[in-house]
Amino acid sequence: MATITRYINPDSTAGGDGTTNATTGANRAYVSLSAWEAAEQQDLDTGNNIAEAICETNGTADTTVLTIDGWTTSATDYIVVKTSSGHRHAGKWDTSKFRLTVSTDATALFCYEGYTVIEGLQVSFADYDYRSGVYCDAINTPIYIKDCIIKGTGSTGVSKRGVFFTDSTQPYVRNSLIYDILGTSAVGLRVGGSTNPPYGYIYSNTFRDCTTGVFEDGWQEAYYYNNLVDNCTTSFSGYAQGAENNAVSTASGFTGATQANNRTSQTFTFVDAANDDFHLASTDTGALSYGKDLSADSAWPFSTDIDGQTRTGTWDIGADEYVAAGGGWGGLLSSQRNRLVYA
Amino acid sequence: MALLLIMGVSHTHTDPTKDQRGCYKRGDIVEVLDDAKHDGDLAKNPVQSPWYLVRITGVTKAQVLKYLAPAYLNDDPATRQVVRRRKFQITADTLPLAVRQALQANRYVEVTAAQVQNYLVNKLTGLPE
Repeated sequence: MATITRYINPDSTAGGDGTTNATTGANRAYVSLSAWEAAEQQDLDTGNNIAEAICETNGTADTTVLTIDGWTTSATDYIVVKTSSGHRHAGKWDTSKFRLTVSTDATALFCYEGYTVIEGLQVSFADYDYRSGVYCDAINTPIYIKDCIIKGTGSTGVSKRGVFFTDSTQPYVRNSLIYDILGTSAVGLRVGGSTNPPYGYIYSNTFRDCTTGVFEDGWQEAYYYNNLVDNCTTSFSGYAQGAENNAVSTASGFTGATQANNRTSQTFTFVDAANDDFHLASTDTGALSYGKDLSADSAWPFSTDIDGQTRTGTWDIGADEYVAAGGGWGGLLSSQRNRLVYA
Repeated sequence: MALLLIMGVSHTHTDPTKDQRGCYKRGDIVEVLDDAKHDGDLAKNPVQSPWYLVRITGVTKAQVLKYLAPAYLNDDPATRQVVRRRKFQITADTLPLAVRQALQANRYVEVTAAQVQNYLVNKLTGLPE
């Protein structure tokens, strides 16, 4: 098995082969994710390969729709699309970091390949009917979205979706921030799936300013743990397989076959919500230290947050784990509410 | 001026539906770019396989963005279904000899819109745009 690593940088020029992250020369980075996908499309399963697309930028956005289709993947031979360190957002939309920004009447990212991992991307899409930030359609296979920021624009489009999983796709979404998905029947995350295993896993996400935060368009299709839904007309619509330690600002919240520790009518305090910085503030009383520890989860364990910071103590609800600002002294202990962490 | 980034090879898939819907074919236009996305120095920045790069003079990126559209089974935005990865493709093998030779030599050519207009065909109808 080999990992086929290729680089993408919108500040490169067209015609490179993506084998280095340089922006000039024969081996320069692909100029867009779309170019990477076109050049690298292949049968990963037969070749026993992993295709890894590493996204970087010197400031320019990738503006071309990405469609991942025409590949052959498996649980061990799959696709990873991710940002490298230094080119990834820090939990807030950042125009100096890699981003896929589509302003035409189109969904920004289509994924038709199961087992694909989308990690650390910023994705925005325009205000048109039936369009999504990320659209996932892979028959009876999982697609993983983690540490991403997905945002919409405007509020006139009908049936917009921040992230859309079709009925046959197994959704895995964690540590992601989805916001500004507004308009008639607009939804932050739409989950389809099956009433039979395999279920979906929706862990530790923040949904903010959506007409509906999460819409389970079926019955008992996923487990929802540690999700924060704020300032949405409807927080959660549907009936989950399991719903624990979620927190919402509305009077009604998550429902499910198994439920525990869900919190309704909460007020959340963010670092700078007016400027779309949805990191938890130290003064928050709605989500801070009310989460469930998923580091030993049987389905999809993890122990970091959207920033890549380690979750410690009693976890916070939502994509961000509050960590007190530390000094510039390595190893200096700083307080983090009721726990100690290395700053 | 605008740049067209064009596939020089065809990908295939064993599932015929997926092959048509998902796989890029030779001549498909993968990307349209502003002129600045190629500096013209083919020694310093040669165009690599699987790409061909066509610079079209006298048109803007906005004017050629339409070539990135997939072919849909229907046009209803709520239900439309992709049946071809791209609606249009350049029929590379029938291009004028001088253009073909330039592409073979450098994987790059500069042409006018009129020179390629008749070679940009709708994949479903087989007719020029």
